[in-house]
Amino acid sequence: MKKRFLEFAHATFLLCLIAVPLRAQFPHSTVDPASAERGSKSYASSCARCHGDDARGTATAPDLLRSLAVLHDRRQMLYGKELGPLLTTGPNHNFKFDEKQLADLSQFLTASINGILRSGYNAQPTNLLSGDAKAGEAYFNGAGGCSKCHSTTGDFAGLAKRYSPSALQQKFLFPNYGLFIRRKVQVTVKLPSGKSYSGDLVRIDDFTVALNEKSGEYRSFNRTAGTIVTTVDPFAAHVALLDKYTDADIHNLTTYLVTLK
Amino acid sequence: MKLLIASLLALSFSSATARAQSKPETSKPDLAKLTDSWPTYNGDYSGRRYSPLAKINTTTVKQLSLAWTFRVETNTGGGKRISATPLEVNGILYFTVPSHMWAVDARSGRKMWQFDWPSKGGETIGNRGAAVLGDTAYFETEDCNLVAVDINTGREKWHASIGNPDQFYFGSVAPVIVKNHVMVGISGDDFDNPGYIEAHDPETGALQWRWYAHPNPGEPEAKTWPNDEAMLHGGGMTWVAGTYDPDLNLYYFGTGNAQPVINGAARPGANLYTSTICALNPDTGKLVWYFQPNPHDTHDWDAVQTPVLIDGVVAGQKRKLLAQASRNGWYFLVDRTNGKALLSTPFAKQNWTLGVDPKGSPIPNPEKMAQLNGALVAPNQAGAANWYPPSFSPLTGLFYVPAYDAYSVYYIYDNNKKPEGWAGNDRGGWSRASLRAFDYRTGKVRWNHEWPSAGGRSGILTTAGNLLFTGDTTSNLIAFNATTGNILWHAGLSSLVSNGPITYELDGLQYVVAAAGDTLYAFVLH
Repeated sequence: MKKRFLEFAHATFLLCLIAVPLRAQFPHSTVDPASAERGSKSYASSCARCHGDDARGTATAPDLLRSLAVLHDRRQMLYGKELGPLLTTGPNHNFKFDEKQLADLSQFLTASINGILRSGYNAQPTNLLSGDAKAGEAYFNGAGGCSKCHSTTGDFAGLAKRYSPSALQQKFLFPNYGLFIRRKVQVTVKLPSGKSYSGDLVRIDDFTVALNEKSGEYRSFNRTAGTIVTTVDPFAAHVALLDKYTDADIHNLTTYLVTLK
Repeated sequence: MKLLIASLLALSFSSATARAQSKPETSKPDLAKLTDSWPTYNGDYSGRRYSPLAKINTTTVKQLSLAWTFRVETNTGGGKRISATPLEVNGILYFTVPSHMWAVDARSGRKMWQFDWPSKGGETIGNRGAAVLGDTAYFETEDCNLVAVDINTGREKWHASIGNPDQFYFGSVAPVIVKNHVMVGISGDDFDNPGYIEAHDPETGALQWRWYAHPNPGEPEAKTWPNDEAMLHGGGMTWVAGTYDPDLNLYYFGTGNAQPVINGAARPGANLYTSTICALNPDTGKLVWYFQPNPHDTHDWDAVQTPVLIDGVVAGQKRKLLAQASRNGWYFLVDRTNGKALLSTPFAKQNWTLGVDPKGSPIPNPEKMAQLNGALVAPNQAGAANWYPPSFSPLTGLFYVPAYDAYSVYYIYDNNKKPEGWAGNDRGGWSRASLRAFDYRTGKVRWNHEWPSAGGRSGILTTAGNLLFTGDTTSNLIAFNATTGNILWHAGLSSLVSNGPITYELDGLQYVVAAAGDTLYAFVLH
């Protein structure tokens, strides 16, 4: 147990010393980008011919991202110490990398594995302009009903300068999603006495409701018998569209909105 | 010195005596039929989470009051959220968070012992609980061990490996005791590995068998994959504890999504046995039948939701049934003797199918698989249902599920000819959260309680008191009239109800216990 603790403490200490320039991936195998970049060059010159440019294997050599030896090296953060002998003596292998080269190669492979994990992708889709802008314009002014509330010369003027295509698409599909929602659900609470309070909804469940009035005053109420609570979602029209959109509508509208520069 | 030794001996003897005196009388609970305790993850083997206890009922529930709380204060990087369903055996509760297990007096909330596993690290999204057999409690750890703990001392008896953490496997599933087998599931869909179920010897931990969630190369079902390489890396984790029919001697469980997760272009076909309900012989680990709720998954929709065993009547015939409200928004009713589907019908908003095939499996619409430029899909990745335990009440004939109507957009991020890992994801979302009750025979909604705001989910308990206990989307534990859906009682807790509530009776008093974040709350009817 003591040995295990010391190993853990040692590993933790080493972990703390290492800069964490990339987001740590489960199970916390961090990557130094400069080292991984050097490793990618070693890989390209020595390994890619057989194992493929992306290390996912070819007809002649196995997938290295799925290699147990590579996965072990990654999780244990061995920096190539156990890969070295395999690269020297394995079948068709006679590479004599030094310690630093092995560490770089290990970092390249670790980064390659981290990159395919759930959290490994840059969550920004990049192929969103495949639609028909004219059809998107027609949808904006017609079936979508967008022009009833929005104007390309008013609130949407220069829209594409303010948002990336992926942000634009998300905003018209799910305007009420995310941390920086500008328009809150509006709530009115009518008490049995006839008195009524309105404002931004703060919290609601089956038993209580809380709001911020325009004045900034916070009020909360028990939802007792006779208390009437009414909420209005400012984005209700967007929600209603979710049941109606075709994917082509979405692609066309995105392509059109990106023209509003 | 003699005096010191004598004193130490006396102290040692007296503490041993005290331990012996405090040692609970052990009796073997009947895991096939729930009575006044809660001895397995689902209460009994059926997965119904229905208790015959009725002292707390639609009339008395208003008198339910707080008995005690127990707060988890240990955090070794494993998180403190209690998503485990506690077991209640002989007056003691056993529950877990990643790498830790507790035994707590079920009457008072007093800690009997705490077991801390020295984890080597792993995914710690949650630990769903323990299993108890005789004087041993078992649980999985995030670094892939099955650990056996002596329930009298809280000390380890043995541990056994259940997977290789290097491959992103981790333990989170509540084990299930079936005869002389500790049934173990495995978690981890970050990487392209096959899921599996294992059985271990309860005395020694020795592996009895392992069943992989894919056919063997050359078998007819292997043709649902383009090649063996894709099949052997095709996923199908076994995230949720299974159910068991002692008469048929079949263990039922669902498997997780296929891998690579979002871009399925390189694995055309149904991809058996991923997203599949399976029936295994627990003595041999041999597959007896399967039914696939979600062929060729590309949305991270596991079919691991509890397969609930119902002895019911369909079209005038007594049937041994299995019901699942699946993550993909569909409800399935299956003959559990042979896996033949009797009903396949949506229970939540869904737009991804082209119909149902002759075997009852939904047919995925290729246009609603992830696209480079996005596809709007209902439900979203979190699913219409998820791991949160549903419930079935034989009293009402209703199946209850925390149901989400939701949309998100699925994108392919990796269009490599050999995508690996996730290769895409969904983004954004809109959701509407409800507690939904439907007829188990038809899937027709009998009542639906839409929560005033979307938010978290929790598991469900029903009782012979015609009650349903669950958490809402904020932080309330609520009791409903199970027949009508009317709210009868609630208590505001410190956070979302994070597990499936349980009930048990001790000394003539009925308790209800639920977890909210790091705290167990026990309520009692005096």
